[in-house]
Amino acid sequence: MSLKARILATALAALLTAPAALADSLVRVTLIDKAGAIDPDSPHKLGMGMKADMSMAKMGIKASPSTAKRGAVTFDVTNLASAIVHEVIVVPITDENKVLPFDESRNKVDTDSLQPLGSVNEIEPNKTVSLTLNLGPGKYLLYCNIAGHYMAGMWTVVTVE
Amino acid sequence: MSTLSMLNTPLLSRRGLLAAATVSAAAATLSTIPSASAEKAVDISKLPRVKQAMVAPPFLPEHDQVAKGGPKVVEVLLNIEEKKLVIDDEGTEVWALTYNGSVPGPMIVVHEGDYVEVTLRNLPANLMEHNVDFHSATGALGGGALTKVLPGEQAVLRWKAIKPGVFIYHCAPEGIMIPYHVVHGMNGAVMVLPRGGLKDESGKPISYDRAYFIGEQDFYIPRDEQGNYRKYEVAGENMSDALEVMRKLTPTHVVFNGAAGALTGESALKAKVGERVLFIHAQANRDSRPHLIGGHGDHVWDTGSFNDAPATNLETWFIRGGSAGAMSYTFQQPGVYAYVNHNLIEAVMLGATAHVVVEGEWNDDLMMQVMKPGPIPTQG
Repeated sequence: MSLKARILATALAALLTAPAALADSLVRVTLIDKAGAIDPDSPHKLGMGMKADMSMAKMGIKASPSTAKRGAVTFDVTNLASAIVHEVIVVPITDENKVLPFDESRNKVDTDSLQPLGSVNEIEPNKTVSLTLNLGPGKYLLYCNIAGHYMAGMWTVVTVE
Repeated sequence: MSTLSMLNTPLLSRRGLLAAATVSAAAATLSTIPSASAEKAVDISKLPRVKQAMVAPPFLPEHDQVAKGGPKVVEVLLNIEEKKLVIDDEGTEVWALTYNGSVPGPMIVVHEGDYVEVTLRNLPANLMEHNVDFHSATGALGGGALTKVLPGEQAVLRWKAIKPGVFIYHCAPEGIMIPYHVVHGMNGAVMVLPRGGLKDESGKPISYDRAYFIGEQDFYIPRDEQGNYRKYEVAGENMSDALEVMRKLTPTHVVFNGAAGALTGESALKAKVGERVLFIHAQANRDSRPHLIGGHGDHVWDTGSFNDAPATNLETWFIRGGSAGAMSYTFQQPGVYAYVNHNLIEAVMLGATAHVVVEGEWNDDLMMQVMKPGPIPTQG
């Protein structure tokens, strides 16, 4: 890697790992694991719009506040899990009661019809990373699409006003 | 999912030195080959078992000072609860990580040679993994490697109390989470009494009339742009802000028993003239220097070891960060005593003050107000 490329890579890494750049809105996002293994052969049914009892969720995302002002929205994402790597993908949605297309064979959300606006990947346990997006009014789904995690409850909706 | 199978899962993060210890400790529990020391060990299944009812500090569970009978298995239950606490009279909040809902966690009292069997339960509503490292225990990172529990899980750990003294216990999950959990309240103490009870500096048995557990806690509360303490909606949400404050090593609060004023006013400690009171002081993270204003440390085990003769008649003693110590004092005058961390900035400005209200007869021989404050007499 050239020196220039290395500096650029370091700067990018710093951008991703440095929490809380000043933005118009700050949403703190925590990623949670609870007891109970994710079984790839029999996925949980705790996705968006599935009207499931979320208190049974083995994984979760909490966003606070769950509303933000239009404009630059910074998501400070903290992985509270002790051992499991997560990711967070942000996609606009129109209806939070609608069930997302799901690829059973891969145990993942089928992303063909979704238009992700941004994501943070490979979030190590106990790390906080930031993502700033320019968002207009509407609803946005935050979810983890590592196999099994979405159906285990790893999603939440943030409303931008 | 077992620790071993988790390590084979590709989605896991890289784990360091502590993970290796976890694996070897887990392997130790699976081994069927008895060790040399195990051959000599007593048959634990035949020992009497007692349940110790945990009580919130500053109080201690019911216990005998001199052991009755032989070693026993003492069962204790620690429920881990992530809980919002108010830590000063201005309404400053912290999402505390607690054992049994209090900061510090409850004190466990046993005798040397007893076995402590701890059920560690991570309540389902919690958001984080937790464990417990007993400084009084031997092996497996003080039990930390064998007790990692996710919300909704429990583990049972048995350890033998082989070192008499007072010791802290604390949560130590991994990496940055270790200091994070400790400075969010996740620590408590164990007292392992010698089977014959405490002894003074010349080896003569002494007993106490009351005992109090004072857990000193440093908090690092993030502030907003206006300088006000931030509030958060869930435990763990303050992570990046809190780490930034912690890195400066300057606590915003240093308190006894979870909040400024928790042991003053109506909650002040009580004693009577002539009573010997044992104070156990724990600080899981940071040095402290207890001082009883108006009294002394008659007997002080400031390292915490009851195998060592106590120092006597101290004005101020030292508690090393990451340890507990004990002091006994026989009150000789009635009135209000302040028990403080004699870094007086911490005592008065950050919260580290307790009061002891003592009843009894005043002794003019020890102290007398010869003249009340008044004008300086003019030279005649």
